[in-house]
Order: sequence, then C-alpha cells, then structure tokens
Amino acid sequence: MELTTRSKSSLRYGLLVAVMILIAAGAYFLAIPRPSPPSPTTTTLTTKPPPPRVLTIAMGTQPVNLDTARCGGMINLGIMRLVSETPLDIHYATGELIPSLVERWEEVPDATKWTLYLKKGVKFHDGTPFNATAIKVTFERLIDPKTKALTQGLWQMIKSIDVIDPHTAVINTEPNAAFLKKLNYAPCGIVSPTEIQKYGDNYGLGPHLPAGTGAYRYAEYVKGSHIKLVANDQYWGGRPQIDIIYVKPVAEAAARMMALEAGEVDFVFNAPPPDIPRVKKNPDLYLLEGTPTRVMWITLNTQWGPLRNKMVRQALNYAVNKTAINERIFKGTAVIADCALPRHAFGHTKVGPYPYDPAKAKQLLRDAGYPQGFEVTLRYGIGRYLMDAELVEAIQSYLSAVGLKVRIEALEWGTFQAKTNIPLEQNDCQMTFLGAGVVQLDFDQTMTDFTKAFWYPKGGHPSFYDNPRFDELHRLGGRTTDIDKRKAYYKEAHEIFWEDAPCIFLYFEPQLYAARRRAKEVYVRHDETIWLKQAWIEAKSGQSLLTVFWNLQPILVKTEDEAQ
Amino acid sequence: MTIPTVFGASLIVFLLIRVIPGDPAVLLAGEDAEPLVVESLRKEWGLAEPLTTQYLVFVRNILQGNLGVSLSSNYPVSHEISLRLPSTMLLTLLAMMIATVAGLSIGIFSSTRPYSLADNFTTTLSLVGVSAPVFWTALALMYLFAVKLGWLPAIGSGSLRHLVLPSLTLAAFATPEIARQTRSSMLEVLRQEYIRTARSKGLREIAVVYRHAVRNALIPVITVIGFILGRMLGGSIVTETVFSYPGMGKLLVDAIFMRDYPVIQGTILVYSLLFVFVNVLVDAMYAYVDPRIQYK
Repeated sequence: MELTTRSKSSLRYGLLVAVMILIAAGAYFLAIPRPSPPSPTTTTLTTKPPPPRVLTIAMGTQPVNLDTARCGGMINLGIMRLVSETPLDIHYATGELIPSLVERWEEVPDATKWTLYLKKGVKFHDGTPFNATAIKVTFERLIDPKTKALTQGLWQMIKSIDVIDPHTAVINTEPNAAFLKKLNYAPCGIVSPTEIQKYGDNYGLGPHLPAGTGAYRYAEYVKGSHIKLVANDQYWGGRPQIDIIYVKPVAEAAARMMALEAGEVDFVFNAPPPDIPRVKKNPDLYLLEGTPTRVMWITLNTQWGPLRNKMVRQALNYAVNKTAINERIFKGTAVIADCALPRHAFGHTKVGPYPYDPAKAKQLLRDAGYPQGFEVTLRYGIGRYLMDAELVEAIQSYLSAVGLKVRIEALEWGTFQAKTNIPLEQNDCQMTFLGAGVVQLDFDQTMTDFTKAFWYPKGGHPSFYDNPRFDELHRLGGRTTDIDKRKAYYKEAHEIFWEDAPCIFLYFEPQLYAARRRAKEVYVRHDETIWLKQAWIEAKSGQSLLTVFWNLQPILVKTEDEAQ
Repeated sequence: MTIPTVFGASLIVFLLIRVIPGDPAVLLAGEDAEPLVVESLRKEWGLAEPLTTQYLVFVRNILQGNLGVSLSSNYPVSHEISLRLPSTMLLTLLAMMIATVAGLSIGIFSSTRPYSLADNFTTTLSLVGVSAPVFWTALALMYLFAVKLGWLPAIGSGSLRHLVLPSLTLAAFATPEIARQTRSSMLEVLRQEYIRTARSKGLREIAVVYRHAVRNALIPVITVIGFILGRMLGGSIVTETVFSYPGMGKLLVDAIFMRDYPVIQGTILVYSLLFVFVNVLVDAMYAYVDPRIQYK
C-alpha cells in the first residue's frame, strides 16, 4: 500500500515528535543521578529506624578541592575543618585558644620552641592512629615548596619538627610570639600519613575522600552540587548529635535566603543586611551575629599626591560619619573600629575612633594646603565585601562634602587584585576599599602587611606605609612571649599607626548568618568558621501531608548503614 | 565550514581571556599566598610561555581529545564538563519544549484573532516576559512557588521538580519570541491565495489553519527556534546561578572569575560545537518541513 502525501507528512511530524521525546528522555536519564532504591527493611513500618538528623548549610562558594593546604576561603575551610582538625581551636564565644588534638602545650620565653602534648587514642577516619608523626608529616608538607600550599609563606618560620615520643612533638621556629595562634588556622589540618604516602601530590584532588580526625567524615563530594558529611561514630570528643550535614553552594544571596525561608536549608552564611528585618519577623528563623572581626578601611596610598600629607589623611578620617554608615547601611550590626584590630585580638588598644567632624576636616585640609580639596579615585573589587557598593557611595558623599572630587572605580574582583597587588612603581592605587582578616587574632599577623619589609610583591598593602619606628615595634613584639612586653610594644605601635592614618578607619565587618529555629547551638567563631560540635536538630512537630509528600527526599529513607 | 568556525571561536576566546587583566595564579592561590607559590603555579600551568606556544599546545591537546586540566580544581576539564553538560542540556531541552509548545500555541491563537482583545493581551504579556531581566524572573518565580506556596524547591538539582522553575524562567524568554514570529508568519500565510482556496473548498477553519497554514508558516519560526536554542545554551548562566543548578553556565562563570583558562576554553569550545550542531539540525529540519527544499 502506498503512502499518500498526507500520511507521509504526518509520519514525518510524528517521527520528529518521537525523536524529540527520545532525546529529552535520554538526557533526563543521563543527567539525573539515580538514588539507590531503598532497601526492603526501611519500608517496613514496624521496624523503621528514626530518620537521620540532617543539617543543610548553604554558602556562597564551594571548596575547589578537599585539601586544607591547597584550598582557600575561610568559609570553605570552616567546613573542611569539621573533617580535618587542627592541633588547637579557639573558643566560639571568647576567642581564646583551647586544646583540640593537642591537650596541652609548653612555650619558651624567646618564642622559638613549642612542645605539644597530644591526645591519646585518636584515630583517623581511615583507621590510622593519630600521633606525633602525623603532626610532623602535616607541617613538613606545608613547608615543602613542592606541595604548593597556599599559605606556605605563613609556615616558613618553622625550622624543624621533632617527634619525641608518639604523643609528644616539638616544633622549632624562628622567634614568633603568635605561633600558637597559627595552630588554629585550618590549612594545618592534620592529615593521615598513610594517605599522604598513598596519594602524594594527588591528595585531596582525586576521587578519594580524605580522612581526618574530625567529628564528621566526607561521604560525598559532588562538585557544583553538594558536599555530604556523615557523623564519625568513633570521634574522640563523643559522637556528634547531627547525623548528616549537607553543604550546598548557592552563589546568589537572595536565592540563599529564599531557600532558607522555604525550609530547604537550615543555615545560611552571609545573610545580607537588608534582609535582617525579614529574618527577625519570621518565627521560623533567627539571626546569628558572629563577633565582627574583619577590619574594613579605605587604604590611602601614602606615597601618592596629597595623601602623602598626614594632615590630609587625618582630615579624611574626620570627614566620614561612621555611626551613620553603621546605622543605615548595616542596620547597626557592624562595630565601629577604635583600633586596627578588633577588641578580642591580642594587641588591641583603644586609640580611636576619629570623631565625625567635617569642620575640623575642612580646617585640616586648608592647613595642609588644599582649601579646594583635590581629585581622587576610590577603587574597589565588586562582590567581595558586604554592602560594598553602598559603602563606597557613602564615602564618596562624605568626602565630597569637605571638598574632594571622588571618582569611584568598580572593578571585577580578579581585575581588582591584578591592579592592587603590584609593586609601588607600577601601582596606581589612590584610595582602595579593602578589608583585612584577623585570623590569628594577633597583632603579629594583620599588621605585618604594613611593615616596609612586606611591601608588594612580598605580601603588602596598597597603602605603602613607611614608618621605621612602627616596623621596629612590630619586630620586637613578635620576638618575645612575655605578654606585658608585647602589649606595651603594640600599644605604642597602634598609637603611631592611628595618628599616621594610612587608612580611613571604618568598621569591623558584621558576620551575619541566618538559621532555622530547628538548628540549635550552631555558632560561628571569630575567624569566620562555623562551630558545630554541640549543634543539634529539634525534631519537627506536625507537618501538612502535602509538605511531607513534596519534601520526601530519597535520603530520608536510607538507614545509617547505607550512609557509607 | 564548521571547523573554521569552531577554531575561530577558540582562538578569539583564547586571546581575549589572556588579554584582560587578572592572573589565574594569583586568583587561585588566594589573597594570602606566598609569591613564590604563585610563581611556581604560573610555571606549572605554562602561563609564562609566549602566547603562540600556549595556543599551539592548546590546539595539539584538543586534537588528542585532551581539554586540559582545570587550574582551580585540578580535575580534567573534560571531566568537569561531562559532569555538567547533561544537566544543562536537559534544562535547555525542557525549556525549549515548553517555549515551543507555548509559543506556537499562543502565536497561532493570536494570529487567528488578530488585533482582538485576546491578541493584545497575549502580546502585552509576551512583552513583559521578554523585557523583565532573567534575574528578576528567576527570583520572582522562586519567591512565589518556593517560598510563598512551597510547591517547588528553590535551589539545586536531582529530581524533575528541581527543573521546573529554571526551565520556566528560561522559557519566559523564548516563548514571546517564538509567539511573535509565529504570529507574524501566520498572518502572512493566512493572507495567501491558497488559504482562500482551501476555505472555499469548504474545509473547516481548524483544518485550514492546522493542515495548511501552520506548516507553511513554520520556516521562519524554525529559524527563530534554532537561534533561541543557541542563545539559551549561553543564557542559562544567570538562571543556573540563581537556582544553584549545577550546569555548564555556572561552570563557565565561575571559571571566568577565577581566570581558569583551560575550563573557559574548553567550555567555549563545547558551546561552539553545540551551536554548530544546532544549526545543522535546523537546516535538516527545513528539509523535513518544506518539501521544496532539497539537499544534494
């Protein structure tokens, strides 16, 4: 029977539709990871085990690999240190050093030798026992240039590590008073020597999931999708009360907040200040304010034009109304800087803030020889810091009020870094909006960038600050463990620094997090890392049947044994 | 013709990303990294070599099927892409299907009642869909369906439900364009002599429209569909970012911010190949739909 024209074209169309459906179906089956079907025991009503207690966290970035030595970003490291623990910790409320894998320690007056007494009976997730050899392997790896650890420079002052006995290690360093604080810094998460031997360069990079000593271990790492952490039953600190932690990257802040409100995530990093009123009104959510630690300022290139003059720099400090900025832009959650270091950092001295006094600012500018003000460019990198666009506009308006003509230059972060982190000869920075993390909570760390020895390309700062007495005090303070002496040196250094005003001092960046009420005892420490050791989940009371049906994810049906 | 296009695209991208300021070694090593580390990273990734050398190495590797290794994650680029390409393709296909069905329906419907209230209404709605920024549409849909109503998940992937909002967002763009093209193309066809003939034959209006008018109106519409499909592959970037949907668009954006050259190059290469493939498909569809067109 011959196909007529009509049926032939119908056939064609039918074929086309069929092909499209096939392609779509094929893509569907390829793309959706099929969860394994639940085992028969879990569907029996009588012997059903309680559902695992799950905490879901959403953050803006995601670890690019699972090696604490080679992955950056404080928030990322905060998650990774749940698995890969550091020798010491800081207390989530006070910021004081507390024991972790190291039970107690001894130091010597000239800050060169650190004796660490390790906890006994601790095992890595792969079964390897934790001991002084692991400490040695970890730190030697960090110093080794072949590892290309991102923070390699930080550990260069370590001269050697000695294993005295399986539970005692001695680290010999150049004089460095703040060394112990470095032992809380996530990149020195202790690694299993067995794994280092097995994976070498590929450690943390390959499909294998690294073992640590932490309360959680890695169960899954699906790039771009999620990281799954599972409780460590043999944890030395006692089994945690949360069974599974999902960590999801959600780049868009608004989407993060919506996922939180919709109940899809329990904890969100970096809640935007404009959303604070909404969070406070919502009975299911609460706001967590970590202690502001990161100091934010407008750095002034002390080697450029009018900014060479100290009076000009001071004038700019008087010109900015920091209280208003805090109230309007940050809804009161920032802390106005009274020093280059936050209150809980060692070496803090109250030397400020500069009061808001535009009349005095104008007077100083006149005295310095700029009655008409001058032109200047204020540069910043988009998206790195909270409320950056609003802040630079506020600064622009305050400075304009005292006569300056400020041009704002907003650059994409990569470009911004390329133009900022270069030596003086090529550097065209005038005013730069920047922050400085105070991870070690010690003068010795943050203020190092301001010493002349640390001008770019060594590390540096677009202020190109040059004050020999300041450098001297910084050096002296770093070479002794005598607390009173250090405080005295740093006090003087801060006074000089504040008076020289190489920056317009602003505020400490608020650490804002939002969480659902069911997530209890979740804390964020002073170094912007999350603390989950005592966190627990409040069991849900009644839910509508529809919500239950829609929210039923395959994972809820898995038993603990299935979860690897 | 396709080979030069693909190579041309790869060369342009290769040069462009190296011209813009921003050093991957610095960006990936982080703010506090030691300069020596940065230097050795740069050497390892061959970034210190002259441009011509870098490009030749790139081409040679591609011909061997090696797209390089991601600077930021150390996984092979092909691996990174293979993880995400199916997701993006699924999203794009679904969005395309929704947009085609909706667009064609609206277009045909409007064309049979030109300048009526219904027609004007749908035209205005389409205008809103195409004018609203993707960002806004995505967040608005998320707020309505995920937060307020709780019917659909806000973020992520892993089930069909996760696809609904992102594909609706993407379809919100494509639908008006398809509808508009269909409508104008249909209006033109409906004016033709043979339509009058069909009506005078006594055929019902529906038969006239669907059996005779639509098929003839489809050629320009198929062109638009092909064009939109190509754009959608790239346009899914914002949608994927907002919904945290792990696809190629997000991979590309993250790579650009990190100046992860191998990933950028590899992704663009894949995109150009897909685009070319779509064009070939569109050409084939012409032959299917219009018996007058023959390919030798």
